[in-house]
Amino acid sequence: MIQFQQVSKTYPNGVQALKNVSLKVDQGEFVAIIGLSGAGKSTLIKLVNKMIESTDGTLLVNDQNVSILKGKNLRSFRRKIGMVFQSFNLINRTSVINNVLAARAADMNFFRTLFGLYSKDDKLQALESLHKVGILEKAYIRADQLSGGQQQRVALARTLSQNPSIILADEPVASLDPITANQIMKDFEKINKEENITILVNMHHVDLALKYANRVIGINNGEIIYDGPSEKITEDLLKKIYGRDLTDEDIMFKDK
Amino acid sequence: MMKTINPSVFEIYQARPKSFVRNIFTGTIITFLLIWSLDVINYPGITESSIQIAQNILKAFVNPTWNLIFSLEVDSIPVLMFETLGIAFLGTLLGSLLSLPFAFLSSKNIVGNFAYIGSTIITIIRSFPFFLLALMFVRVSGPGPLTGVLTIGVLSIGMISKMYIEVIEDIDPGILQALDASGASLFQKIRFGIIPQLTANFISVMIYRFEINVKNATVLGIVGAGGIGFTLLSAMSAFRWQDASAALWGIIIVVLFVEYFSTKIRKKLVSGE
Amino acid sequence: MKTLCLKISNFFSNFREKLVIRRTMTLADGTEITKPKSYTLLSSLIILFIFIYFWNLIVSSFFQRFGFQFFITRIPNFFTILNAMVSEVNFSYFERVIDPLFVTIQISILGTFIGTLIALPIAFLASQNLMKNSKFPMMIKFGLSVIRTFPTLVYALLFSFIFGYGTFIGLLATIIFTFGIISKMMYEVIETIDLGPFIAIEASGASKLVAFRTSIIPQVIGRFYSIILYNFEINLRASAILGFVGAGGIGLILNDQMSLKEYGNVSMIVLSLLVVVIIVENISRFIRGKLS
Repeated sequence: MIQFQQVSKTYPNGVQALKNVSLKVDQGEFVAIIGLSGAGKSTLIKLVNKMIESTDGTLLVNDQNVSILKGKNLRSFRRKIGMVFQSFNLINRTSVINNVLAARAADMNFFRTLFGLYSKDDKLQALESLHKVGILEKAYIRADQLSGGQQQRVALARTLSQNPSIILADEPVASLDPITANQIMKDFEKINKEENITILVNMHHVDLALKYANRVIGINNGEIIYDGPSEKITEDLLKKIYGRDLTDEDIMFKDK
Repeated sequence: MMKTINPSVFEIYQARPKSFVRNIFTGTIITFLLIWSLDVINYPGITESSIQIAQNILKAFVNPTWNLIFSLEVDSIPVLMFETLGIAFLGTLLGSLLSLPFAFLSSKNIVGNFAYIGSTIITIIRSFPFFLLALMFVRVSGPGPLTGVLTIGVLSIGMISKMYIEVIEDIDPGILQALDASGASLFQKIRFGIIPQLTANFISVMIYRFEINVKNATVLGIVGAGGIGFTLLSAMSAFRWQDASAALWGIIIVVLFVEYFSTKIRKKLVSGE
Repeated sequence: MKTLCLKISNFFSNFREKLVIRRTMTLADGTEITKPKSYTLLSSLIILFIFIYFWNLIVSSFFQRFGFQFFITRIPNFFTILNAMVSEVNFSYFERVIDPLFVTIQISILGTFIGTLIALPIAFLASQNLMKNSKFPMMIKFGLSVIRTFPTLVYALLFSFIFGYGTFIGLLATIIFTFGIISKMMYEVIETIDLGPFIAIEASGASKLVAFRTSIIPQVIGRFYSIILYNFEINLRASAILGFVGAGGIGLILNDQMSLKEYGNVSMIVLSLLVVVIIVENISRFIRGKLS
């Protein structure tokens, strides 16, 4: 469960990215955040696992007040939240399975991690996560030898191995071609339905957002313009969210 | 946690690449070398006097002989450090000059396979213990800074040539092709095609080597080749810790200055003029 | 102190401005182009000036005292020694060289190893990009610069008064020297890598240390091995000299034989060292090739 209560974020350079935002996301929801670049989407997502700190308001995640979390508490809090990035952020020079193991390393014996000697159990669990996203056969291949879509799947497997209750995704498909993007969004959908994991995605491709998320939050200039089911969104609302007509950039599948 | 393992997962696990053997092999060699080397730690133990001396040294470190540092007499630190700088400066210049023929004759893109002879000679020069070189030059120019210059000059050939070779072998032949196409003569090709590519890097190498040579020059004095090394040695041998500490401070300050400017200038060279 | 430095650098920049050449040209259609500042003339003048000063200080004063003729007559001394070394190589002396040679190698191996071990955590703490808001990087980098001002021999000399003679001080000196250099090279590498994976692993709840181990080490380990091998070679050459202050290794017998004018033995020692260096260089090149 994620709950923003009048949360604001002003960056040190004066830019106010979020203004008094309030919203509530229940466990198991699939929510997409849309809006222009710089509207505050990224900021919103990064506040949830405290990659950034809010400057005002209260943020409750899984019944914990995020602003008081520090050190060990913050780390155990983050264990339960997975994050997927636009640039994948994989450890390029090492194998796929090592990437997945890296995300679980926090739970494992430190000395094993230090020498890279993971237990059989650890490895099997990592392989299971890879299996869930369908790239089991790439387990021992070097991460940078995979295609973009495959790399993002590894990132997804990485978060799954944490057994998270929430997965945050910051523009997960922006670097992918339309077909691969569709596949990755389908993966998100599958994870959301099968494991009841809350998915909070931010993306600038409106059609994909509307297709896969059952709830959409539109942000413009740090404020929530729309927060409701994806079916109910209209062209006018989209115009308000974007402050202009939609262009080709905002649509993934251009033949619609 | 007893979860049933998916059979296909297990299959992949079984088929995993086992870099075991290679790692064990490397690990054994390294462990063997380390254990063999342990011999060399024959800790002589700390005696009363050594603690005393250590304390004296530490005390002297925060209280050096200020007179030596701030005076400008013949034996003072500033004078000696200047001498040391001079040794390093002239030595580096000498070394750079001498390295030019060596480097050019050892670069694959200029002399082809003949380069191996050149690089072997350079390796020989590089592994020549530099104290030996200093002692040999002392027979020529006696104890004094000139010996230092000669020693550092010849010594630097090794490192500078190596770096020059890297620069030379990095030359972009494309520029030469372009010049050829526009009808340039050999001289013009060298002047406008090769030399510009080299100068900035060569100078960068010289400055880098100068930095290292300043440190080497401080030490040469111990053999009597001028500079601050001799003062350091004699002060220490006579247990004049404060004098020694003054010398050390002189070295620290000068070396830090040199490092600072050297890094700055080299950065500028790399990015522009 | 800081204001003093500032004043000095201001003085120099003003001086510099005046000596720098700026050429503004006007083209046919009236546009003006200013050629960017060229420091060549200024720097060449400075170098020339410095050169003349030092030449005077060191070379000319030598010639004044001893005379140029004298110098010329002494030059052959160098070559006679060299000649003696090359022609009278005393192979039977090798027996006496082996032990000290091994000691030299041992000091290098252990010194490089221990120095590297200590260097790694320090490099971590000194990396600006990992320790963002901390004061550590600045302090550590400065401390390392100070440590690096002294070559191995100075440390050995210092220690010889505290611990007496022996291989221990050679080892200690090598460790400190290695530590200084390798820390610097390591943090320079760390500060240039992609932090993306580091951020991702931190976001998954791992501590900075675990994130460092899993996401950064794989990226840098290739370069680290190169750095370590390179330093081992440097240490090998440096250890050869340590014996001069009694810190073990071939330096001692080298000095002795030199004073005894036993050039044949001297060249045997040099030759042995040379062989070791060449072998190590080739092994190192082989390993570095395999790493990339």
